[in-house]
Amino acid sequence: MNDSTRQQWLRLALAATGLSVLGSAYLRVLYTAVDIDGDPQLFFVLVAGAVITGVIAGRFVPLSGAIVGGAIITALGSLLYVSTIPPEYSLTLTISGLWGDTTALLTGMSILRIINAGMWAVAVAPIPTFLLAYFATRRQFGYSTLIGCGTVAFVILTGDISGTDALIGVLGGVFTLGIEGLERRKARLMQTDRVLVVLTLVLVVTASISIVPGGSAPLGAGGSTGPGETVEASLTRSDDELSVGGSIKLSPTVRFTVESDRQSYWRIGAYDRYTGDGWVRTADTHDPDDELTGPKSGGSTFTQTISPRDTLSVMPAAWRPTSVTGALADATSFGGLRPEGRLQPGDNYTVESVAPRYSPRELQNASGSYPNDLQDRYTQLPDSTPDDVSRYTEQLTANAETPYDSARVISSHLKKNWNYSLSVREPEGQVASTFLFDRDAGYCTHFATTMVTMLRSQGIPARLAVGYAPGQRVGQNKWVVRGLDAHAWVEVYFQGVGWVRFDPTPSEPRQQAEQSAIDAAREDDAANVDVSGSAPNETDTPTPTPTSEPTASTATTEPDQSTATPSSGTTPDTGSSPAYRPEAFANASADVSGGDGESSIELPTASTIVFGITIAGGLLAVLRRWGVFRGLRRLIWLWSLSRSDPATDVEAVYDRLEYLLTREHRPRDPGETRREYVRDVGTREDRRLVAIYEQVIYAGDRSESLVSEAIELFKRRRRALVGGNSFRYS
Amino acid sequence: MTDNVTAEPADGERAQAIAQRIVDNVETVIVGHSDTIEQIVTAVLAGGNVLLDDVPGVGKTMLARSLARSVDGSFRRVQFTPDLLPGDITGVNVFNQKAREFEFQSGPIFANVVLADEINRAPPKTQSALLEAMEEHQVTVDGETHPVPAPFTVIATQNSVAADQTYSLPVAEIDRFMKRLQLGYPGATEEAELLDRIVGGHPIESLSPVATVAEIRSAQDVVADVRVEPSIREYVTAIAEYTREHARLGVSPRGSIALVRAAQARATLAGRSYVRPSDVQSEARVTLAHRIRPTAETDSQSSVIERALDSVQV
Repeated sequence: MNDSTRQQWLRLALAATGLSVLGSAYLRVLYTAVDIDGDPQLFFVLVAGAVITGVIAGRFVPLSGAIVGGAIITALGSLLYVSTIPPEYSLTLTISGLWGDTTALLTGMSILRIINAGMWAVAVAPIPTFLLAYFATRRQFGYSTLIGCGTVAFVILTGDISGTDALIGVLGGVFTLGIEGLERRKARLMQTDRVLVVLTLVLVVTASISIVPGGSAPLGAGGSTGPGETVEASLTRSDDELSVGGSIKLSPTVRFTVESDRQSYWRIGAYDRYTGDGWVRTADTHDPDDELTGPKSGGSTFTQTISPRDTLSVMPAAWRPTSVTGALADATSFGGLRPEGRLQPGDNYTVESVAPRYSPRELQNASGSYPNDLQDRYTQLPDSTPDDVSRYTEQLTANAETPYDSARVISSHLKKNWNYSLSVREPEGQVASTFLFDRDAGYCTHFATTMVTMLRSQGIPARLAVGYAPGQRVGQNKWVVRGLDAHAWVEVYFQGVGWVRFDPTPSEPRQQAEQSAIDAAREDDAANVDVSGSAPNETDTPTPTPTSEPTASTATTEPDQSTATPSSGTTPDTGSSPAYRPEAFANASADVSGGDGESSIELPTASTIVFGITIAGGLLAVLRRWGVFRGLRRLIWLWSLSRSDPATDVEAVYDRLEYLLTREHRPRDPGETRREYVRDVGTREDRRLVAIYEQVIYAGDRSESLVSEAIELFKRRRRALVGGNSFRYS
Repeated sequence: MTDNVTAEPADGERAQAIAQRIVDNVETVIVGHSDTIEQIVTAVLAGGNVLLDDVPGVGKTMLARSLARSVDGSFRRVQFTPDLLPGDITGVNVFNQKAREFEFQSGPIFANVVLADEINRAPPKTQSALLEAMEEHQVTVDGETHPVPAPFTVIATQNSVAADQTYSLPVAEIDRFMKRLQLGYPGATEEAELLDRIVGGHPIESLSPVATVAEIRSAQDVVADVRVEPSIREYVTAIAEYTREHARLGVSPRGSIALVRAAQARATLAGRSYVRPSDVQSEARVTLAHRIRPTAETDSQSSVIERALDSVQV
């Protein structure tokens, strides 16, 4: 294999590496969707098939054929997707529906929110992969990169890719393009350092400018909190995604006050799709929950008037709202309300809610069989969920005969055996298994997420609900709700009854945490901690905290809106709430900064290592471009003269002299003889040195005296030319 | 080594003296072409043949005759015409009635210096009769081989005007000339000097030999011994390769050999026993240019050589 062939292969290998990095960037995103809700095996088979087909097609099929092939793959993918979509969503199959979906995706709707996300990813993944492999085989790396980066751009727009992954993918693309550019200009691979410089620039620039595309800034209920800093910000964004993170803070600012006939959780919404490290709401569809209807089982109607004390982009209300007056609102899926625009202080609104009525007996008797759609949607778990969770739950609920028993057992088990803490490390991997097996503390999101996961592992439909705990009671029917009251809990579905609230978070420690946050804020004279009547000297009892964990015997479980006794039916989960990192992107930044957990020594993550290596390589490349290495080498070379045979010595001496003369005057022209050169730019000594050179090299006179004389001449010249001057290198 | 060291300079000095004598001698006749005279003398010392290519009347023939007269050797002149036959050059076998056998009647080629005047007027067949002699220093007639005397040099002239009545030299033949030289018009003062000299009698009539054939031969031996270091050989090779890469027809290996030998002769003329890159450079134009067929019509042979000398690293 000669040098140029080797260079070719090396180039191909480097370009392929770059493309693999690029490809894996978007495939990872799609795989996440498949893992959460799909068939990973099918995914891998199809992707591998697409690569192989692409390579084969690249060898034998012209461009037109490949376009047809791509179209066929697209059509097959669409068919696959369409065939598996649940019938009740078939409306979305109309052209306009597809267009709407695409637009929604491109404007930031997460892929995970597609009803059939896994199958969608399986159907989509082979298309860019095929084209990428096809063009790569044809050595049209530009097109390959275009397709890969286009796909990455798509998942950037949907907001599903982390900043790090997107960056790494794009770097892979840039690298490939750089390699291709070198090939086009027939440059040697040593010039890869140019590409490295560009890569490093990209890296450094993106690392120092922290606006990551697709990362939505949290639109927290209180605009005053920084992103991801408070429980509330993470829970009550009017957003459709929720990720479970590490340490968080409590915001003592008052958000709203409620006048209500009865105490309740002020619910905002729910999440149905569990991604392993967070929650996603699947896209709005024609869900019966969308309409503001009362519970099937009927219940008692009561009204609340909610007065925002701060800007709110959400609309808390007691479960389950049937009508709103005083503000414009949309019904969302999962029976929530969403304001049109933001609510300002003074935008009071009144909600009429129907508290569902049911007894423990009804729950106990609810059957374990559910409608298929509901079962599919609310027992979904990522494929990568460890079996441990399922086994653990199975043992725990071995004696439970009904779903209701299981829910109670799980809830009290979590409550009893895990502590409440706001400062915990962000869970690595899956929230539920980390929390169950590696942690002894967490906050409401951890508890609720874990409980949903456990229930789902047993085939019991459950979802995560978010909102505010009842708050501080300041009057007979008045409550003050602060940012720290933000909360997450569990809703379990019972056939014939509907969604019933369970709260697995230990309430007392949470209330203590909350109270101490309020006290601290009061001591600091922080603004908006109190409204009239909520300060301690104005009221006797700061926060009545009903702590009942209803059991079957007391007739009211933790039901959401307990029918019978409001006091016992509600567990005021004041807002010791979990803090979440707002975004998948938070993970990326955490990786780079070393995480914000309490601990300690962590091995650098893969992406840190990649970053480090790239930046180190880039630095070396920059130094090389600046000629630092060459300059150093030159310096050493200039001052070292090792003796061997006369011809080599004289050559060496002359080369150094010519280097000095080049620095001082001009380089020697290619066709210029040494004699002509020194006659032009040299001194008498230089001419003598060249005469010696000719004598030794051309006349074959290898006498030592000549060599010594040459060296002496050179040393004299070196002193004259370099002397005290600072070193310059060229 | 000590013997050689003392002997070599002596030989070298003698050779240089011989060459210099010839140059000086010719310069008494030819005015203003000292470069060309040196080139032609070094060609003789290197055992090569020379093609003088120029417009009529600039002294091509005069130069050749002066050179021939400066050497105490045989000199023959052949005027090439369209009806010249190969046998007119090489000689023929003639039947001797008395001895009743064929005997070889040698032609004008059997001389130390052969002047082939207006060589491009004769048809290629006749031109090619020169080939064997020029390359192998022997002539074969009717299967019999006859060596030409040594030293042997062909000096051919050709007119570069009125080309329609000529046969251009075959590539193979032109490659056998070590050098192609061009005289060009003399400068104004040189022309005045030239006119001054011919008043009274042509100086060539009074020209006497300054070197014997034996001296020329020994000088040729000295030239052949001149030292050529590997770096010089690589330089020559690189120049040849450059012309092959940048012209339709580049320099043949024969051309490279010619360049090295010309450089050796040039070093001898300068009194050195080794070749320097400058020797190669000053011989490259005349020894290589005529062997090249440039790629583009607009390109000239000499500019290819100039570029080669400019871009090949010494």
